[in-house]
Amino acid sequence: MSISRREFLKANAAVAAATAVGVTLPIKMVEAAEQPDNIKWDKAPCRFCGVGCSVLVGTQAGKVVATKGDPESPVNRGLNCIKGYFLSKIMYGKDRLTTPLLRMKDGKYHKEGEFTPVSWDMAFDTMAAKWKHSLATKGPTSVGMFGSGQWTIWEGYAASKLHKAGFLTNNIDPNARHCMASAVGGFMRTFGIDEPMGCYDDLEAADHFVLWGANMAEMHPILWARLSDRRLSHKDCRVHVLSTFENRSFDLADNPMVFRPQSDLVILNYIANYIIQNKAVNTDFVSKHTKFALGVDDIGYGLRPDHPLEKKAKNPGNGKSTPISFDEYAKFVSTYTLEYAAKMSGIEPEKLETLAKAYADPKVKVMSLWTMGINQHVRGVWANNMLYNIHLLTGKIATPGNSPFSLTGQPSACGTAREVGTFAHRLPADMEVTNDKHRAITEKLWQVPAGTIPAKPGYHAVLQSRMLKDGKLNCYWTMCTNNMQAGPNINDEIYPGFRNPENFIVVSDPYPTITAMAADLILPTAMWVEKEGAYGNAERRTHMWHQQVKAPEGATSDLWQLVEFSKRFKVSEVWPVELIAKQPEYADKTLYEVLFANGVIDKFPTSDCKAALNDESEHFGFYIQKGIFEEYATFGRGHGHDLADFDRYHETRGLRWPVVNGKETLRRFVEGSDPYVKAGEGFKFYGKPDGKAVIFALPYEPAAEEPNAEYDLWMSTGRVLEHWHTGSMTARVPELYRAYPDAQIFMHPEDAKARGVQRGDEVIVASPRGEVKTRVETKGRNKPPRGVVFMPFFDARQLVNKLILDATDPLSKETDFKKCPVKVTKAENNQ
Amino acid sequence: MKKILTLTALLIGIAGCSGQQADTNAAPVNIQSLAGNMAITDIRPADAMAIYPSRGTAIERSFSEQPPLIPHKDDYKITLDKNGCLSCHSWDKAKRMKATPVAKSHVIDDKGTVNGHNYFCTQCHVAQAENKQPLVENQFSGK
Repeated sequence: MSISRREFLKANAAVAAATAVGVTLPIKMVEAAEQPDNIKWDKAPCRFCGVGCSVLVGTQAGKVVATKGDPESPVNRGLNCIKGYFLSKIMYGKDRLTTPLLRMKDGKYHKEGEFTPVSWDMAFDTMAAKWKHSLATKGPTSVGMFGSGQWTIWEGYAASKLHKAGFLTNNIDPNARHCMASAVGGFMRTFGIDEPMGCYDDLEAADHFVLWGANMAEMHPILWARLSDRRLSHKDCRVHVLSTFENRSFDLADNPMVFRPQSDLVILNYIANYIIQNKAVNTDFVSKHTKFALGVDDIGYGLRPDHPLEKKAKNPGNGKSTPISFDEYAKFVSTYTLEYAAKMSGIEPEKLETLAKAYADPKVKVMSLWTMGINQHVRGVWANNMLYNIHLLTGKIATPGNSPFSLTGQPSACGTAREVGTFAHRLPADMEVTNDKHRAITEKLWQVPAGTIPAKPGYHAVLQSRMLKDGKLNCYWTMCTNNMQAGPNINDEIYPGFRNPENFIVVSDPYPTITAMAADLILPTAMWVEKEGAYGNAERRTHMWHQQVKAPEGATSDLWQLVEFSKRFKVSEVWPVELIAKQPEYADKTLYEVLFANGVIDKFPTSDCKAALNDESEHFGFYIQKGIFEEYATFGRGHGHDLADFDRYHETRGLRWPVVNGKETLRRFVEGSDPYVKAGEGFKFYGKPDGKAVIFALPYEPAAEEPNAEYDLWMSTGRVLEHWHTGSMTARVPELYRAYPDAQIFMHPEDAKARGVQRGDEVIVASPRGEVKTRVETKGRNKPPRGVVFMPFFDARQLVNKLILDATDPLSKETDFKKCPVKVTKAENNQ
Repeated sequence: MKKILTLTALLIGIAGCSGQQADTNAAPVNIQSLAGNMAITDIRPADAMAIYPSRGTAIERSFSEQPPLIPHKDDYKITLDKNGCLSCHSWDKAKRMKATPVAKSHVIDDKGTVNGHNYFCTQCHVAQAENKQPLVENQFSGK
């Protein structure tokens, strides 16, 4: 649907008027209209973070000429953040890639050759030959893919299916592993089903907000705008902000708390203890809807098995637990006293008590919000579990304003990475490859023989890097991500694998990223509104957009690349004879015919598409996006993950699943809102067979590394408001670049002074794994306490994640980017 | 046969191509990331610190719906109690301070009280470093 400029102005005025008198406008679709100035407007979700704002995209003569906030979006209500406003420019960097580039020497591929333009045919021929050789000689575990929470739903689905059912490997993982894996682990462990029970509407219903290590003011700006409005317009509203350094979110804080890295685990258990000691447990809720378990401890740090820390751990990677009673749980957390929490965290006791009281007071509705501070944490799954503990103990969950809310990093970390199941251990609709029944269901829906999908999880993100370096993973394709800049321990664990002579590395991207520069083959890629897409945001909202402009000549979408590549493989070339024997009619078919032109995905005609453009459907001869979506949706319908019919998403600003009988679900697990909870049940955590959520007894355990005499500062890396992740799009927008051109190291003035440096000086920041040169910032938006420094990772010229240890949460395999001991010294020839 | 098909497809591909040529005999191209010629393993000297002007005049928008850029530094404190930007840009001060008044779309009454959603100005309005030029040209053309 499109809306004209005049209609837009009218709609804006109506929204403003409606807001002023407190009424909600019905969602109204305005018919497409050509305007006197010939700008055509159509909707699309923002390309950046997990909030999932809707924008209106103005196109003229085949180009995007403007973007603006979508007043009809229930998420952002006409507002955008600075990145969202400049979406209009992200596709127009002069260095867009328009031809495949292969490293060549003397007219053929050579690992040490120079990037040379080749045709798509030659690119795919070279790739297919490498893949076939690898599959034939080393088997399916030697090929793999690194994907993205920025993939569209159909791109993620096509990639997952191609690998799990085509190449017979689970070696596919999204960059969401670096971002949301701990959240997924937390949900699955506590509730048995992924993603938040609440929704953004809780922002207007809560009394108190608690930010756990999330700097929403910069990373989730539109939700921060809604939260700010609540704080400024609701007299009883209070904001508690916890972080390891003072940041922009502290500007709104009533109760600001800077804690020592890793001590969040102590604070969480202290709050549970406070709730119990002060008789604030909601005993009715707890007895009916929860149970208690003691988690296995001393679980290691997800490092290589020969690392001393792994050898030292008693139970590396063990996520098991045993049932315990409420009394045993109460005894377990009883040592987490106010005094202990204050000592460990460095926070004044009064502030901690104020925070604990907010959770304990039955009259106060509390919304907890978190992202990377909790997820990128060597005990990230535990920390997620412990957050749910305090909401479950008090019964403050799944009702308006009572909402433990796991914010999402990427625009479709939920919709694609998690719901589609592009992780090395997952299948669609929360199913897992290790579960015999789940594989059988998937194989049946995919029309492939039993035994097609391997039962063993594939290599997760960090393990992929290690296996590339070790020469066990040899053909590797990355899409829609820039891991050579974003991933941990680049010098020791990522770069060596890319340049390992045994390996062939393919990078698909619209621009020459740092990762692309380390590839053997670069594929030029269409982006955002150059293709039809669907994303799923943090509040379970699935939303779609149509293709609105053509990609530059020569660039193609990830979907086109994946599906077109599948045509180059005959089943007989990639499946073992025993498997083919179960379905011999497949032997001479291509993977394309088996996986995509399979009677389900190819059943919708291109005429079903209401947009003027759809390059993929035109190419393949059927409405491929609709076909993939409808096949995918069969996994979740009737199983708590119901999606609406495809066409409805193009007609709305998205719907929150489960969508049952055409109605979206605002809050899950609660009677009256969730269609899966029957009358009289009150609450039901139906992800677990007995309908009960689990409250876990889990201890504090230290970070993988702590500052020492040499590396004496804790460093955290992260994002900034003006840039998206590694800046491959935003740093090509002049206004965003000039707003925040270079990374710098934020540090306390006394820490700078102690090292003989001051604001603006060039310094070397080093860990045992690498160094970067940067400049000191002692003022500005982040104010770390003594002993802590922060550096953003968007700057391609300062690859700061070289310094990060590839230690992960041993359960989720998500890297901890927040606690890296470093030293800072004055650079020589300082200017 | 396959080779012939590939070659044919290749020739068609070349015929339809513009810009970077796709040809097996093509010369290598010198592509660069935003880090320029820096090798991934290199340690690049840090560029000069960004400098934001202390004052300036309004910057022209590059498309009509763009939020105005801040023509001066933007490190004014915004807290629960005080919004530093409003010291000059509030309706009652803007004229005297020769500053752009807060947009009508941002206020909730005829006195110019700022809407809570719009309270943190720097979520949408940003300053521009005066000593930095874009790393890559952007070919966007706005309306």
